[in-house]
Amino acid sequence: MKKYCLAILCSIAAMFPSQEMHASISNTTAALIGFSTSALAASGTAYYFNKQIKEKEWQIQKQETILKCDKFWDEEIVFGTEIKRHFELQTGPYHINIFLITKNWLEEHEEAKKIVLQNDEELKDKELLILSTVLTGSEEYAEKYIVAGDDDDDFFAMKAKFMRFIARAIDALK
Amino acid sequence: MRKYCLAILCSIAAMFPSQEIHASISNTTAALIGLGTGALAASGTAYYCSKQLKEKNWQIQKQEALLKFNEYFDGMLCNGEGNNLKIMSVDQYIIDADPYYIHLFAFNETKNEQQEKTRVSFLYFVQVDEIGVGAGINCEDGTDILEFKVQFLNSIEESIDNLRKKYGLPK
Repeated sequence: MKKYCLAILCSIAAMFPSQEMHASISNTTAALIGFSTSALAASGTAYYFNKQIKEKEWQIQKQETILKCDKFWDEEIVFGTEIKRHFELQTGPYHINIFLITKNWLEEHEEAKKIVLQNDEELKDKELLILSTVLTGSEEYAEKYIVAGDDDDDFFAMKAKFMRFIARAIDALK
Repeated sequence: MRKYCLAILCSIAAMFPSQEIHASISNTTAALIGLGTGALAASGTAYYCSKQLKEKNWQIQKQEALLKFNEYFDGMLCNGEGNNLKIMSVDQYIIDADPYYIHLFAFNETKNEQQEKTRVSFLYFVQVDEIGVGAGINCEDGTDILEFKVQFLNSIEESIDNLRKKYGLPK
């Protein structure tokens, strides 16, 4: 901000010079001062727009990720004939790991059981657990979430919960 | 473009004047020429960035409309109305995804009475302000619902693209 003010003041001074200044400043210098003032204004404009464009790009990537997750859910959870255990989705800078864990599988894997149930013991009674992590590209930071359901649960309600988690996780990563 | 070239040439001329020009142009004029050139460059930058921003906004609005449509479709299945995509009567639904409004009309239709094969027909109209484009899509008995959803989604997306092609970017 200070730079802008200084440049504008210099430009005004160049436009209305005193007799002594008039002699000491050449046309070239005056034109350069004027030009650089505007150039600074232009770079300020570009910076402002660039920030807004980045914000929009982030929003686009978030929406793309959500649409991709929606498709994943439709294909693999509700209507899928074969349940795989691990899925990876990559959209823009986001890397999403989705683990589908059945009750039987969890019973057979003690270590995994300890990790999954460490926060909520009630999860052990659920037929299906979906453990999901959303990571940034650098994988330095991740948001983790577990959604659980029984056979008779409304899978669309589970889907809505899962989609809300993805949106929240992306917001948190930002 | 011509304006820019002219302004840049004027600015260069002001920076490297001949003896005669030097005498005839004051510092004020030279500074103003420089300032004007830079201002033109700034307005050019703003114009370009503004165009990009509008493009991004359009993409966001389009994706939002698609997300809302997804919600509608899931809701339809979720409520049991559409497990086999059977609509009890003519069903009208409006998806409000500012600035787009998607008017959906869904109804059962008997395709062939002998085969007793029915289909669900959807007519929809994607609208922005007073303008819009419409299309229709059918889902016959036995169609994979997921595949149909993808087709429907693509059809909506295409309509939004067509709307843009015909009438330009929404405000």
